[in-house]
Amino acid sequence: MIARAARSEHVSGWLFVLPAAVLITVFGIIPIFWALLLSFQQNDLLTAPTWVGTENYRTLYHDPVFRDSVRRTLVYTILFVPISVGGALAIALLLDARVRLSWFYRTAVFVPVATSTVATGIIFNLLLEPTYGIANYLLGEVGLGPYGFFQDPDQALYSVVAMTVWGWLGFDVIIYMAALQGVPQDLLEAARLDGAGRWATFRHVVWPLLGPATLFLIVWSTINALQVFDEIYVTTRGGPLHATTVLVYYMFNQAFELFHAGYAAAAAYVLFVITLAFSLLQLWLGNRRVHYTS
Amino acid sequence: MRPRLPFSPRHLVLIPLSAVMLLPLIWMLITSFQTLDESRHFPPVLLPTGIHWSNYSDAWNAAPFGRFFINSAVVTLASVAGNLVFCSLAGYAFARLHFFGRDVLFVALLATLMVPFQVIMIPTFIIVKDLGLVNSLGGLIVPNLATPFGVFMLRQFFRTLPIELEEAARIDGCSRLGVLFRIVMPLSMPALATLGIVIFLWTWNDFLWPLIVITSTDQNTVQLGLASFQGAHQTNWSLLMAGNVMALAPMLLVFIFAQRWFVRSLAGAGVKG
Amino acid sequence: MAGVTFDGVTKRFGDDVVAVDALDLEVVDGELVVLVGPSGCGKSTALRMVAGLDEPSEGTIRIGERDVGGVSPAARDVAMVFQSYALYPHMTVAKNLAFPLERRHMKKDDVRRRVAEVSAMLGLDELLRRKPAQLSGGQRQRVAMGRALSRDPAVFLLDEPLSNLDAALRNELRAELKRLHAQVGTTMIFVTHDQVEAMTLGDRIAVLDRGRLQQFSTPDEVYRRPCNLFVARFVGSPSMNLLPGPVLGLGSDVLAGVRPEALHPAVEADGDLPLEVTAEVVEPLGSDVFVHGRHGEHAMVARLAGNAQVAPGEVLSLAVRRGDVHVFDAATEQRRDSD
Repeated sequence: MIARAARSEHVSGWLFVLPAAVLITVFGIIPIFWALLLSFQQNDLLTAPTWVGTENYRTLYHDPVFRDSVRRTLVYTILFVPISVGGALAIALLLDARVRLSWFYRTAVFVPVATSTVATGIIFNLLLEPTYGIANYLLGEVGLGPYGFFQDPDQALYSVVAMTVWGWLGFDVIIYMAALQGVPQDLLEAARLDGAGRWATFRHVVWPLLGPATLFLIVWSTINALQVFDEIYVTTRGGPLHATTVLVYYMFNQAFELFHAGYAAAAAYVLFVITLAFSLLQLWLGNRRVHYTS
Repeated sequence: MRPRLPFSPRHLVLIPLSAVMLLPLIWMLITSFQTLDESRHFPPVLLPTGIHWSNYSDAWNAAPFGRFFINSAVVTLASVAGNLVFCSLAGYAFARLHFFGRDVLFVALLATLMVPFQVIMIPTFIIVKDLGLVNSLGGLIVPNLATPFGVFMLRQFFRTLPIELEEAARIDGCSRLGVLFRIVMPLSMPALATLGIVIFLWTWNDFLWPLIVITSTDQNTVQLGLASFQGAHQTNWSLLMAGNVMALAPMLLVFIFAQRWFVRSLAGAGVKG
Repeated sequence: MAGVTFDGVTKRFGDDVVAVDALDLEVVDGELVVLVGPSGCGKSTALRMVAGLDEPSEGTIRIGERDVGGVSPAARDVAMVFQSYALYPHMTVAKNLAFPLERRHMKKDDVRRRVAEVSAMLGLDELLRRKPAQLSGGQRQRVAMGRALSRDPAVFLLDEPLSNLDAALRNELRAELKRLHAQVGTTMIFVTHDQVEAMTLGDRIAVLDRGRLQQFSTPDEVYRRPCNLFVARFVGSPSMNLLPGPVLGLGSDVLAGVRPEALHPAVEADGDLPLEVTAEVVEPLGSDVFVHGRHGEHAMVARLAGNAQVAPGEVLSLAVRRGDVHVFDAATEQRRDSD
């Protein structure tokens, strides 16, 4: 009797899990291993592939365009993450108090999150147009510029940072605002009574309690930054002069425009390793210093 | 020592900040109403001579936006539905049922979350090609019918529900499937709504995968269609912005009317992630 | 060390909610005063105003001789124990105790010494390295008290600090609090809704109802001479029985209050008013027997000795001493002193 019930639970369990398991296995787990295989092949997605061992990785290592793309990706990430997470914290703190019109400010900050990456790119193409874009016009009014933005190799990557920060800031603010609301009111009152001013309260009470949110946002933003693609495809196409060719763009170009699928797969695994390294490092640091309230 | 201003000093920062956040969208809107010459004029024409709605009708005719919307809607709705059903089934099994290999399978599914999409996109493309789904909406829908994120999120949520309710239902004669659909899912509306909204947002805005899979215009999603629209009309700013506004309209409208919901879902997904 | 004075303090929230209404109260330096009353009576609001977390809409609050209107909480030299303890979850017990001292820029050695003192006083020595999540309710309570103690403030404020504990722990910590007060001697204002806590802890009790002070005197006085119907029914468990005057030979413009414990089997003695009670439900508790019944159409409760033999339906001849009858004006609900 018990054995039959247990057996039926095994069957039920597997039946329930089957659709999702099959889908995720076919489109998730298998591709992970297949990509590894691909990285050891010369594959153009049309003809039969040939086995080349670690040659792809060795070529990558010596490929200046690839190395530059890794470097650029890291520069982008190192700019994007602190600016968006730090900026979001400041904004969330500003929005947290009872200010008049806070609904308006909140909406203004959140709205860009609803824009797709493609739409964002198109908007910024308009804004940052060097000859007659409104950005140069406004900057000219205060005596700055004109700037080349997307068309200037020295400015393009920073322009991409500005564009993507604009698009993603609201999400980080949402997370931080939720976390701030989770700080118990009586903890803040206790701190007041204990003689903590605004800065001391933030530093000793609020900031530690924001630890989990901060860690999440840093890891999440880093992963997203390492994978940036859409906005670049729609604005600079990796240019000018490769100035915005980041890792994923390089991969896409190699795989689907030049049909070096094996080579691109190797690049993808490099991205994977970098992402994993960052995530593990951040999580390890985070677990040592972040406090979780049960 | 408080500053003697009639209003909080926060406004001094919040106002310029809001301006910076809203300016791009407002400028997009204004440009969409300008004539082509106005849009290329320097200094920029801040107030167009009139509202040129023709830009919108021209954009609608220049590219099959209607088709794009339908395609996106089909893909998005199918993905949301698929996830709600399949991730609930799987999430429930992982949360409540004991079956052989359960924990190993769960860890395997979870591990896929660690791998960036770009790693699997090439093999997934090959698989989709071999299934004959290239350049079809099916190629966009099928790989995303069940996501590890959805399975994980719902499993965590189901575990927080009191198990006594399910036990009572089983004693009352309910089958396991019945317990899931009649008891657990109605109680899980917030989590299901969050998952639905996240999948909706993510699928609607997805670009890279459709870019890889779709090769002909009539299968384009809104994002793809918009990108190729830009490709065709690069410097026709007023036309381009009209197209952009149209493409953005649904999501912006959803956002404006359901902001609270939206925000709570993203926050919830973030906290659970 | 200082006393606390409420002078005509009123607190309004919005236009229609009056949480505290014209409160006049003087807590003497070194006293343990309990503010007690049902939910919404304004006791917590009054406490928060002493702390400086809310400001009065009208009236002044003085700590010692100082009018503390507009003074920040940190500058008032008060410490508070919250109902939820409000311990900083990411800090160890030691850090929690040290925090208020560090805020006042005390020297590190002095901080360490004071923390050790307080920890010894409250038996927290083994817990110093733990975080609040690893402590039991009673331990967290003690840490909260320690954090308040460490500053050696002029006034201690305690907002229902025992409400979240189970009954046994509550009794134990109540006694400890009383011992602490005797040892440290600082003025304490304690807020609770539990009249037993109020009676056992307070040097004096302030009974509040809907923002208004009903009575402010010693527990004994509040028990023996409640000044109105509300106080009479609030204090004492089970509640005082209320009968129309004529039942006990008094006028029809008064209500007579008889505590359940004041009823005893009738004996041939002068001055005792007879009261017959038909028993309905009998609750034997070992030490007492509670009899729920009726006198005529009036519901009554009597507390008899533990060895009383009572059967449901039995008619008991009970009596009450004339002096144990509380007389209240039926219209104003105020006490009428007839003796």
